[in-house]
Amino acid sequence: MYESMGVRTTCSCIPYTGPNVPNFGEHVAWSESSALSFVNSFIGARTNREGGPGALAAAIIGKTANYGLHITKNRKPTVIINAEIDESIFSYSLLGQAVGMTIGDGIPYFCGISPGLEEAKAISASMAASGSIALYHVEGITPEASKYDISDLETIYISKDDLDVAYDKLNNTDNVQLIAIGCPHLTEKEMHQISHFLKGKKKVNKDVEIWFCTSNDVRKKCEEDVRIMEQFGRVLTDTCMVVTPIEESFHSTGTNSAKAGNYLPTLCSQKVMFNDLIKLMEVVI
Amino acid sequence: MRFEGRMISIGKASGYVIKLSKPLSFLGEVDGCTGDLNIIHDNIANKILVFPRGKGSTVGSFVMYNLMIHKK
Repeated sequence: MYESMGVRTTCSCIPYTGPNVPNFGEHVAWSESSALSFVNSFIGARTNREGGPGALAAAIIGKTANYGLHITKNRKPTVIINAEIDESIFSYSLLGQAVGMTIGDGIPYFCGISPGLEEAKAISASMAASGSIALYHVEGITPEASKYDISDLETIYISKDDLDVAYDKLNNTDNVQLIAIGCPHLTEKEMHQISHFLKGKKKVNKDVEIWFCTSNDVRKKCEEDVRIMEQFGRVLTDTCMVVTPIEESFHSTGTNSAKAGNYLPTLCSQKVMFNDLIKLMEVVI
Repeated sequence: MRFEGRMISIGKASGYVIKLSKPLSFLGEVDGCTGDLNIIHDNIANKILVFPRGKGSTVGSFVMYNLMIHKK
């Protein structure tokens, strides 16, 4: 029905890697807590945390209510976050978990980190799952970061201890039946990185199932990566481990996503192992 | 006890109050069909739910819609 109305449909949580990306300063009405935080922060388009029904209503009439993060003064950072992490996707996911748990909401201004698209995807997702953060700024990286006076803001240091607390919160098993990667969906670059890591290795532990979740568009562009990844598990498109009733088949899941780590226990009754992709893969290779 | 909140809709209601001390994600923490809470042993149907703020998935709005459909 939507297609007949001229809507381009994609069942992906990273629509901002597709062809229809808003411009800086443009007003949009997005749902999907991780995607709207990414588009607010990394692209500088403006959206509130819409639910699906509100976003759909806005799409139908071509308007959205002018309040909250549509208004410039409400986009000013509320707290400075100083953190030192290594540059892995997992570390960004863990940092987002720690920040969401520490400040809950508000608009953090990060110093000391340099996220690219994939890292921003990870931290957007985890801060929106452990808290309700819909916008953040990163010094020297995000487009609005230099626009605001931050001299009067409190600084919170996220220490190794804070990261350990976040890690412990999401880890409650050492055994997994399923390893699920791709929350939010894997980008082309991540597909290349994973297949590069797996190339030449063998899956020894056949008892553990592996799912790589991405969009249909990304999968189509990554045929060679998919061929290697499918020697280890399934490359699923336009769905994921959080929206699937996996509790019918599995009781414990490994993931490198803090977002998945937040929802798997409550939505899918899973015990969770939350760790770096390479550490998770060591379970099976 | 007195709570201040953000008004979304005008109206008056009275009832039994469930007060949560932590932010709530409707997705995963509230059953949209029954109104059961799974963070504490309680049910929000026909009660007044007080919580400091929302967190987590925007799919929570569908859970609220589901609660309405099921008259909870």
